[in-house]
Amino acid sequence: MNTVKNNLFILSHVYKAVPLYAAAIMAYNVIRALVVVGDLWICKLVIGWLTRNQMEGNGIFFACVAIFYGLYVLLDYIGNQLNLLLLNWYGSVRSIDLSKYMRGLLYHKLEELELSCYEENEFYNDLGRVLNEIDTRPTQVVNSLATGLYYFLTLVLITVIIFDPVFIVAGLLIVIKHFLYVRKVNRINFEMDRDTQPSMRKVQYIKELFKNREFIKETRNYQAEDFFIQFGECGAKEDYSISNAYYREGGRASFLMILFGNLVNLLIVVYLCRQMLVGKYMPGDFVYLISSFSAFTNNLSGLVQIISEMQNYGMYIENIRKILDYKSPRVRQLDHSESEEIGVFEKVSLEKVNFRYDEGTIVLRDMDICIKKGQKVALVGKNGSGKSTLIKLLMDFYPIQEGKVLYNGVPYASFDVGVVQGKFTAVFQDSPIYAFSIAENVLMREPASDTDEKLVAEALIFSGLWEKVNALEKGMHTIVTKEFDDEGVYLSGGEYQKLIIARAYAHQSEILIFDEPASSLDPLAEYELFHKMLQLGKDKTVIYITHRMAAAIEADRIYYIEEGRVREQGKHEELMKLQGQYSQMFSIQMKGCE
Amino acid sequence: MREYKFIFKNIWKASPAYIGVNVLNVVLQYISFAVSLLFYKVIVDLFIYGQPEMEKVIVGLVVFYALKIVCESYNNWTVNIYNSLQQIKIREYVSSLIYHKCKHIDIECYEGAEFYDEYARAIEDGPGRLQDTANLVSSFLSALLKIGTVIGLFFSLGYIFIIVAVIYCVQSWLTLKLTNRLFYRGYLLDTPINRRADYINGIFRGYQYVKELKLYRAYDFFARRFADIKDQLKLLKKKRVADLLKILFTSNLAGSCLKAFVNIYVIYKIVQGEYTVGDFTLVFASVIALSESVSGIINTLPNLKNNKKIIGSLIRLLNQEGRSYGNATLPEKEQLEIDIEDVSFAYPNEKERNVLSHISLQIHEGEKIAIVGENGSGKSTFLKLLLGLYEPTEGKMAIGGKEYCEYDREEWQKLFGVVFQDYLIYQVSIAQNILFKENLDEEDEKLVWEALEFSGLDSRVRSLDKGINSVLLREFSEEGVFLSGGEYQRLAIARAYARKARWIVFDEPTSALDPIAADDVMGKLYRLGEQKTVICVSHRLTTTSSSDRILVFDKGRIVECGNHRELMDRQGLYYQMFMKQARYSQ
Repeated sequence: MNTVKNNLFILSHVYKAVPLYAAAIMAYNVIRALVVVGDLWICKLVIGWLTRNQMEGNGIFFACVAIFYGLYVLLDYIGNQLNLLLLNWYGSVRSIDLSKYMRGLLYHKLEELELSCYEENEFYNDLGRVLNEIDTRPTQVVNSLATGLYYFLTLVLITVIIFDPVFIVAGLLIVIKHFLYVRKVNRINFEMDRDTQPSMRKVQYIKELFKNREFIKETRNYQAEDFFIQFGECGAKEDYSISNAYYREGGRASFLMILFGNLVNLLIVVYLCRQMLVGKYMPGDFVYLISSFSAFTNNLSGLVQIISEMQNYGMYIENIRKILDYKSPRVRQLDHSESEEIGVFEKVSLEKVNFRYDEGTIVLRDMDICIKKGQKVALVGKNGSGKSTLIKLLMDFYPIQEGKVLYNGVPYASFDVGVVQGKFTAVFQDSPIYAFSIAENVLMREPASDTDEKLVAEALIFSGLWEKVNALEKGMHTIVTKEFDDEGVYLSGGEYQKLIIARAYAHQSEILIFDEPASSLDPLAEYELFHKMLQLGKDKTVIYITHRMAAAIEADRIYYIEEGRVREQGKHEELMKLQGQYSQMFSIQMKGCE
Repeated sequence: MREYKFIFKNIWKASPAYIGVNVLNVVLQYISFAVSLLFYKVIVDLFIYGQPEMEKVIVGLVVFYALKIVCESYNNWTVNIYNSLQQIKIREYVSSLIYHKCKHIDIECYEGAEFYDEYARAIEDGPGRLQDTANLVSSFLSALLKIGTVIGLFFSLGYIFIIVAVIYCVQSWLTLKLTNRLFYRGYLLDTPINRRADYINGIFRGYQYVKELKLYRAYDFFARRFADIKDQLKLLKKKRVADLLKILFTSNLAGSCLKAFVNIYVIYKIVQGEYTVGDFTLVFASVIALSESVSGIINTLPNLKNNKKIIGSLIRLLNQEGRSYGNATLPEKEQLEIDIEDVSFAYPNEKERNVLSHISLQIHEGEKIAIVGENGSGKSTFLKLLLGLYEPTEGKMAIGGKEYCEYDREEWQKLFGVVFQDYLIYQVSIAQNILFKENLDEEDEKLVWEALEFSGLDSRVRSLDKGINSVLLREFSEEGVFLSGGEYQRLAIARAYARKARWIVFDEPTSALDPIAADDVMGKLYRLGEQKTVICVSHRLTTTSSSDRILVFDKGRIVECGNHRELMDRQGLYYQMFMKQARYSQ
């Protein structure tokens, strides 16, 4: 039932995207069936006439046959060209529209997906699959259905031309055998895939490693090549011994199929010869029946195959539906009249928040934090203490499990989705650069007007990248990286960070968040970056996570976080006086400075 | 030809019977084809012109089907069992050839994009192409045999068929050539656009992108970009389809005319009594066989050409000569030193730009040395020269009085324990990640624990169910363990420690660690003993301030050298960097 529903779901989308698509593909297959059966039928006719009139040798008879045959070729030609038009001119061109529609649908849906979806392994894998296949599935569904129609029509036409129960029975026999055979082979292939997966992956893994430059360097130094080569060889040997048994089993099954198929064919041919002897069939019928017999069985098996294909698609479509029908776990009123109007930023706070990633250990416990307008707040602590999770909660990336997250004292849940996020600007450790133009990288949209270009220039001037950009031939419209454009520009690590800062500048809202953006920079570049950050946040609220303790000194408030709790908080001097964890961390890093 | 020699030689070595088995298969398939071709003609003619006897007919049919069963079964065995299994063997054989070769290729080569692309392609595609080529050759041969047979048959029917066959072959060859060119051009045009589409698709998937997409509401921008790309593709496709249809319409027209002519001619001859009715079916089937064989051949040609190219890169890779080394052994000295004399280095693909220029330096065993400098100042490259991974383009590098290349390579390789900036974590057990050894004895285990203790990962590993035998990541084990970034770095440090090397070389070893952990690791490193040499690149100047010597790199040169005190007093680049890092606010 679900199979039908899922396939119908896809078909309805196909209809919405390109209304005539399915009809065109169906028409193509109807013509195809007519052409194929026509070929068989004409052979029967011509041989039949020739057999009956063999001795006459008269011109009129020949002329009639010749004209008839010529007409047939003409029709055949027209049919084939019509099909070329349907398949290529219509089908393959419009399938691009179909793919555009499906992807547009998906991409806009993704906007509603929670960030946590990306962290859930299973969901993430499903999402990856859907992103890969969402435009191929619909065409597959249509094609399979239409091919099914082709098989069905061919079957009907073949049996209508000559109806012989012996053939039907023999055909059914072969199809049943074939069906069993295919089931067996599918099982064998499935089990073989499953059992050889681990060893194949080993082989694949070693291949990937040897393609990795860093691997070559590291193993060269450690002289560890042989360890990995053996690892791969071991995989190949395992693969060989596991596959051996399966290939043999599969080979036996196909041998039986070959044997059975040929024996049935033999019986059929003997039967036909017998019928010809008694005069029931003519040699023309013989040729027709023998060649249509294999067409008959092939089409019948094809029809069976289509059914299992559709079932198979059903499973994949299930995934697509799961994403397209996704509902965010936080129930929010999308009805604007009920949601709160968001005001000018005064403060954000976490109250007694407990948080864990799905079923994992608790990352934040009883977290209480309040950040007021204009404050510069530093979050410090060891690796894995929960700092990054804390800012993600502040930015409304996760639904709250326990406790409250409040904006100006109002729970986040009272606002529309995305409204709170609009109050934040963030630079992450892994903030990406896109292979688009510099201006688009800054704006994250297409520059639409002079005002936009001015904003980009301003942002670049601010971040110190303007000189470099201005010197480029295409200025801010230069594409970043040479991946898609030979005239693109490569940026160094420091310039890369400047572009990210420019992006933050162009999107500046009331609260700025920096999540260790400088960990891979040298001291001078890092210093420059930090100053840009502070300058950007001069009249704003700034929250930063850092491992460089010197950056924390000037903060209005420092939170030292350990195991998901705030351990110490206050100004630098206060915390140093406390002689606790913070002061320990600070003095360890500042050792050697006086 | 070199390529084909290589292919068959290596198939022969990996699987001696492979070629014989497949040649026999071609022969049997041919026999089955020839007999089937005549099948209809014989029966039709027998029933129209002869006096068929049922017993004889049955005997003939049984023989015919028995022959078919034998041929098909042999083909089944060859293709489904024998070849599939041998494929694994041949692939493994060739892959191992390549991997063993990798040990001897100079590391600089990998930096060149051209070499690397060829190398990656040889690894990815090379091993599979040997058998693929062999299969293509055998289908090429069987198609040739079939074409020969059909032409022979036509010859016996009359010269006019030969003309028709030739026209037909030329016609299909032209058509396929034109359409292939069209497809290839389309492929060239589409690929960059498709890559762009894939890129955008990847943005919607990547975790690091999603955060920004949400924050900056950029979904619509990327979705629109994607739609634009699809429109572009559609335009290209439309144009291409129009060209394609023009070709196909004409070629089909020619094909249909030929078909009509041949069949009407045969009918005419039958009516005249010159041909038998069976000849009609024979010609009918022969035309189909001819067209299949011709297009079969035409379709194998580009594949063969492509395979030849890939096998060519494979041969070049396997013939690549690495640097040659002498066989000197290291002097039995307590204290080795490395002499670097006026060394410059440029990458082979950018010969004009020196990454390092005129570096002279002596490093004594037991020294603790820190290397600092801006991004891109040549620090990491220097380390690679020191480790003997690169060879200087100018100047001399000597260890214990002799140049690197005079020694057997392993001699100095075993001196160094390294953590690279981009260290890798492997999907094997923790112990194997540290020792690169398949089976561990008790002593090995002790060493692993010692190394883990050193890097501060011991308590975490102890908390795992399988301890040091826990497999990392999930590729090969359902229970695979994930560690955090900092923990992986500690693992890499343990790996370097476990080498028990005399010289320890770290490239930014603590970038992912918090200050306390970083201090812990560096402290232990410096306390390892007077004998141990430590060379460490770092951006965190406070962690390395207690080094004996600090080398400050700037634009490929060593601009300052001395201990922390001396460099601070100099008030140069080091001072500037240190002060900026120590107090951000000034």
